[in-house]
Amino acid sequence: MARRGGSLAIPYAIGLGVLVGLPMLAAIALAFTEFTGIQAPRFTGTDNFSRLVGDEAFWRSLGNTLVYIVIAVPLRLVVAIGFALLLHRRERGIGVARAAVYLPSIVPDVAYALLWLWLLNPLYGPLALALGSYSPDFLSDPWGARIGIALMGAFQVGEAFVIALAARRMIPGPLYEAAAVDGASPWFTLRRITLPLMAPIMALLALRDVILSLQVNFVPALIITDGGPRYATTYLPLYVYRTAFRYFRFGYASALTVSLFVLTGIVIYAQYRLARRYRLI
Amino acid sequence: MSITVRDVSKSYSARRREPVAALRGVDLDARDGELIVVVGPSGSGKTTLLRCVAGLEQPDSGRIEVADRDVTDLSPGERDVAMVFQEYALYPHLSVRENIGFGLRARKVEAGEVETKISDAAVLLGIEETLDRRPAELSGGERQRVALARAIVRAPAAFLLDEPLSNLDAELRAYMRAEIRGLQRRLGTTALYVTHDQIEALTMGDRVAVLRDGRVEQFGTPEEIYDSPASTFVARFIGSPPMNVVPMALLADGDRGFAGIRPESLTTTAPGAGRLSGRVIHEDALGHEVIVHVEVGDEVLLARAAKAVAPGLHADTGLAFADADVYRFGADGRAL
Repeated sequence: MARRGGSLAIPYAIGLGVLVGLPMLAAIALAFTEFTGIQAPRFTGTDNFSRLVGDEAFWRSLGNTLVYIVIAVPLRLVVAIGFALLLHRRERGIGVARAAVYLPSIVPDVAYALLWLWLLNPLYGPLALALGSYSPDFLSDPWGARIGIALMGAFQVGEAFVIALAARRMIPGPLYEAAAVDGASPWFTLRRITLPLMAPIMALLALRDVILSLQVNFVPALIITDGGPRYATTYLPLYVYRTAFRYFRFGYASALTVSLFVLTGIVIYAQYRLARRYRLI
Repeated sequence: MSITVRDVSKSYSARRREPVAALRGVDLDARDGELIVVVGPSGSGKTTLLRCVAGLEQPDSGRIEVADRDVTDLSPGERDVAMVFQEYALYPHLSVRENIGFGLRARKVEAGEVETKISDAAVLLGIEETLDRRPAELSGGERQRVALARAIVRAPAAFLLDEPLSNLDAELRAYMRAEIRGLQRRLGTTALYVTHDQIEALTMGDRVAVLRDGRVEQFGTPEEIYDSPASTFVARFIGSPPMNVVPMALLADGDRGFAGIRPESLTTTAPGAGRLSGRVIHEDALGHEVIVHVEVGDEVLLARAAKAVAPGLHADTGLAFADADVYRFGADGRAL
């Protein structure tokens, strides 16, 4: 039975090998070469990695990525958990509300980015019109742009919302009844029961979101800000893309990709350890 | 501190379905320091009644008082009651110490006082050694004690206990029965105790309320409930094995209504020597005695017999009884 089950995974394994495994191996190999796409790759040893250490643009895009993570991950987590706590009860119309929370996650990335390009527009965008002179300069100020890009990600929390919703619904009702009889206020109950019991899932969601945040900002940075202003939203994926397809330095772009891969691997390992610690896997 | 329940009704409604009445005009009162057992079969409304008193359910009508204070519209935390849940409802991520002190901290009691009260409660329940453990590391009996400690630590006006012993094995249950009763007497706190176990009801309650279909079928001392059942339902529900309830003509004069007799009031005799004759169709051997199932006409009567004199399976037997031991019920099932 187990062998038959394993054989069912063969098509997936082939797809994974051809579509992910081979390109990954090719990228690792290219990372040790100079390759413009015109001439054949030339082996340069660890030159690309040495150059990467001294590359100011790389460190700036890594810094931007970390800034994005610091702003976007807590924001997305708070939004996902906040909606889960608000919408966990079975009530009339609750399905519609839950669907509304999930909806932005299934809007195509480019369409979603174009929508936000309009929302954040400093001249005729609704945010600028609503806030008037109080409106931050979302597209032309570096910090405004960083916050704007993070803000648009805060509404695409469908999967995290569903996971948080399930985690909240798994907390046994009698615990809340016991707390109510004990005279605990809603705030005390949230701090002492709900959040501690959801903590393992919240930690997993945070780590998952960190991984996501290493990649998810590519489309908005490309479409809304084009990495600007003053490189403030040039995140690692956008820097890799430009290095490869604007400057045709495929070898160096591969080295950047490998560095992103290592960074992601470290986060995944931390996630695995955390899941083991709380016996989630 | 007394608990008074006046004409409380509660029904549940599901979408596209008729509302289901869980409580229909329940009246109940627990005097200061009394332990009232609410007993009834599944679905009789006993847990709903307890939850209404706790404030976890809002009655549709009626009035609930705790310590002479109308609490009908108050939140659970404002009612000054403590509840022990069937599954204990211990907070799994908190230590025993934190579990016991949860209610005190929620009410912003000063830290030093919290520690003193936790220690006192732990000593009273004999769980001092477990204070730094988590609930998952405790045995069933220890969890039960922690749940009790959490209830007593606040010194509430009343305890509400929802089938607190149902998850324990028989031996521990018997031990904890005495423990809870002793603790409640020592503290002198009024308690409502819900159970489906009639042995718990008879052994623990100062008074017992028998619930059926959301109504109080009978409310009285255990002796009254056992010796003078108000209806065939109470007669059958209280006592183990249950009372034999048969058509009146079989045991007494009259052709309307029902007659009841407890198995211990029926004596097996030589065939033809008793007032009834029948055949043994089943035996429950309990070691020192046997519960004999005797088929008499269309009815089956249960009789207790000492092991030495039990007639044996498939044997013909007589059954003797005294008229004074026969209970009489009307056609509606109410006691005459």
